Amino acid sequence: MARRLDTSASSPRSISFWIVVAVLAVVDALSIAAVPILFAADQKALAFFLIGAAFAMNVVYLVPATRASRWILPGFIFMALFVIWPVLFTAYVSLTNWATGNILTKAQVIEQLEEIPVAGGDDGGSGFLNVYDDGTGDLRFLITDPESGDVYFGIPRDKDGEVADAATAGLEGLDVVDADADGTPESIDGFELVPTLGLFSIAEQLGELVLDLPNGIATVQTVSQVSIVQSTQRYVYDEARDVLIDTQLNVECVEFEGNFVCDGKEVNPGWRVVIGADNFRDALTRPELLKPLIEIFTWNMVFALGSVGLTFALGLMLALAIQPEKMKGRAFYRSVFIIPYAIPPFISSVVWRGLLNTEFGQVNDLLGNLGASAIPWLQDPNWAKAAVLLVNLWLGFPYMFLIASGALQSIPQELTEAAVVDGASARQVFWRVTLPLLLVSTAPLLIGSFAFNFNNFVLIFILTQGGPPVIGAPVPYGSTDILISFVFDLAFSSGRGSNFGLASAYTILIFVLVALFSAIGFRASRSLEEVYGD
Amino acid sequence: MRKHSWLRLLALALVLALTAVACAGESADTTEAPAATEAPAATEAPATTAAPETTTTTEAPAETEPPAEALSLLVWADANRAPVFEAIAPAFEEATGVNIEVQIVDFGDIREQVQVAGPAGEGPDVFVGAHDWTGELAANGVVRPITLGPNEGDFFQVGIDGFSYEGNLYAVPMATEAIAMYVNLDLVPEPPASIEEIAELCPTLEGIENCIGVPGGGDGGDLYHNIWLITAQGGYIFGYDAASGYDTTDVGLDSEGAIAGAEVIAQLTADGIMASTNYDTAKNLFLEGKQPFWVTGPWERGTLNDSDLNWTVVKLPTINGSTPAPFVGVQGVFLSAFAPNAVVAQSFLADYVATTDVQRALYDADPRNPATQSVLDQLADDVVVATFTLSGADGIPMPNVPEMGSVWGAGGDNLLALRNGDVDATTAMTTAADQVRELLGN
Repeated sequence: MARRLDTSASSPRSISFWIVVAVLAVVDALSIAAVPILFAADQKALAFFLIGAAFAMNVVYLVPATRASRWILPGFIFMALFVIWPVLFTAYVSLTNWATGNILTKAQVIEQLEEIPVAGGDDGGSGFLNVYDDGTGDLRFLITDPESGDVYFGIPRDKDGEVADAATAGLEGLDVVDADADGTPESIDGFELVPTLGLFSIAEQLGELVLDLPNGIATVQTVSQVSIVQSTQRYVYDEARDVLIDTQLNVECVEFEGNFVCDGKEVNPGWRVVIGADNFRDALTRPELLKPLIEIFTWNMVFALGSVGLTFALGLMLALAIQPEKMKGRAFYRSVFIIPYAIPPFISSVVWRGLLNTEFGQVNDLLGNLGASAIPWLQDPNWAKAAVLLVNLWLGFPYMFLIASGALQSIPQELTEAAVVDGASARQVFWRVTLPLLLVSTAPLLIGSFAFNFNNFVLIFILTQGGPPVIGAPVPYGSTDILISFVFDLAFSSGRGSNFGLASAYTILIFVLVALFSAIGFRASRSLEEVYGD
Repeated sequence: MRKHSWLRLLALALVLALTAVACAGESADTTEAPAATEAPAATEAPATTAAPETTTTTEAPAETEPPAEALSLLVWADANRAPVFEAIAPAFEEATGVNIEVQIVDFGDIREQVQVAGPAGEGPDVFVGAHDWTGELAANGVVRPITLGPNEGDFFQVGIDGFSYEGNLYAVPMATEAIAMYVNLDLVPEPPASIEEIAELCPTLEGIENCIGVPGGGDGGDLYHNIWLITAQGGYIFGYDAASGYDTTDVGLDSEGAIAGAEVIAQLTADGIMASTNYDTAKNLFLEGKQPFWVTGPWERGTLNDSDLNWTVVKLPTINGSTPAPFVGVQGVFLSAFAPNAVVAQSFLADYVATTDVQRALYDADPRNPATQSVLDQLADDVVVATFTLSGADGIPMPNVPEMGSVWGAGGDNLLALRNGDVDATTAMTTAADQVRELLGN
């Protein structure tokens, strides 16, 4: 059987074989072209993955013995790229110090630190720059002190070169031509003034040149301006000993968790480095976070379970309501019920936020016309929780309606008919026959819905932003905050800017929680299957 | 079978041959493949062509001809400002030989994206941004200090302070903004200058639903629109020293002056003068003519121009005789630390962006408050600009340290609770300060 399939699908004479070859050729060409680019972008892991994936594709599609995995392979490659890789990357980030102040690589940091000059102090400041050239690329700098009007003319040297004698002040004894008398000579000692256009073309070279002056070193900032510094390089990195030397304060700085530390002071910027389980310790052992986390977790469970329960109940009710085939307008109802599902939730959440406004919202207007007083939907902790659940019910019931409609179709009519024959009431038929059978097929989807709602960040973030705030809390959080929205605030708008490491650690912890609950859910649904399944 | 295997070999050879062709040729085409599979965050950043192809010849070229290899400068700007940079590009290229390429990036996204694209070597050379990003960007090492050049004296100090971090300036300011108070002249023909007079006036007005509309109540905390009430009597966020910058271990939200300011909020709320309105409520009430005063910024000017209201704008009212200090926001153009040719980029900023003409064009593209005296002089007849600028002159730059992230939530939440009448002034401010200290680990 396998052999026959093999020959029919991959016979070298068949067209399909040559199509496979053509596709492989394109895949290989793209992969091989991409590899150097990925290496250049320092994406080594991805480059190796690509090489491996392309190799596996060739083997699987060209070697008959491995052709059995030809359908699963692309799926596996995409799963590895879009599911496994992000999970591994998150786990890696959670072990690093990746946060504001530590986002670069060590090499980038050292390169930047070595460019920091020692500021000019009282003598420093800025000066105007004119560049002269003798036509062979030999350059001269003319620097004017804007305050005193002193001018210096000299030969610039390379930034990293030996310090030269300071240029002398004044232009005495030089052949100065200033035909238009604007104060800027057109020519000095045979060197011609380089116009703006020429300056930009040698700008990169100018950036590497300095002129030694009596009061410091003139370094080029713009094509017409220098700043005068004491030294062009404050920090020197000693690669052999892996220390940074601060030449201004004359101290050695050693590395500690991604920063050089000089005399107890961190030097910015720092770089990314693996620091171990510190983020997990921070996430779990801050005592003042305990009470908020317990409260938020409790509401998170209520929210996720409540959302699944309410949407399933409403979706099922509607599905049952329009199930009878003799009912008129079924297609119409079905379309109407699906409308909320067709609108992107982040848009409908914004709309609902407006509708639920206490003073101006249409919901309160409507209730007001019915004689009710204004409900502080998004301001009172309990009403806000109710509002979140109601909006999520509106957003989520069409999904459950679709599922329930489909699942109801698959329940054999003989079973319900048999129950009726046995004398069961309609209610009994539903509770004893229809619902259990329905749950067997929908339980995995309900668990998926739970996992989704457990992390339903978009709804919370847009509708309430976690609010209203809990009064007197040790750290800011709100009554409708769920774990993921609380963690988002904690990691990205607290402390010192963004903390990706901490955020990833929390993400992993939430992942573990959701996995745990899902496992429990699947176990429960399996027992259901054993009773009611085939 | 043997016949088949040489056919397979032929197939393999073909694959390799095609591969070789692809490698030799269409590399432009194939670069799209890796772009899509790079680290997820990086794919968001617009692809750029800013490969460091700016290697200049070591010889100074002859003066007449532009260099063979064109220099280029990549600018990231929001949709409003991008046309300004595109407009100055031809003149700049003619004068300098440097080609300006402008990419439109959503203003709110620039902050994140430069930090991803820059270190990867794909970022802009210069980009527009807000001053309160400065601390984060500088601490991360993705921006480089600049000099303002010959036009430095024209810039308002508040803009320079805003973009300064640890003694270095990081951007050319292009706009400032601060809140002031819009007034409905039909309801209040002669707006009073102090909050005490307003408090006396409000109960006499008829047909209004609220008197002073300040965002930050209702369901949305908002420290930005309330800080002037806190700072008027000496309240502050972080201790500040001109030489060393902000001291984030000195949290001033529960200082005596801050609590005195919070008492004023509590009193105004209790007297029914300043209802607990969120941004939309305050705005709608003013637009419907049911609220004589509305505290917010120059960005709503267009909305009011489109309305039928008879309105003006005045400085924020004094509190107990003290002038309130609103937060001043500054926007400007940063220099990336990863710009391959820093001298060119700096020259562009100092000699072009900092000039009055470009500053004026930037103002026209997105009218807020000018960042330079000379543009303000050109707009001397515009009372709205003048008032907002005066208000900003009394203000303090929003702290630009990354630690501000801890302040917005804590300050907004607790002032919201205060304005909703859930807590008293002292509790609100001490809780806010304690939360900030907790988040910062002080």
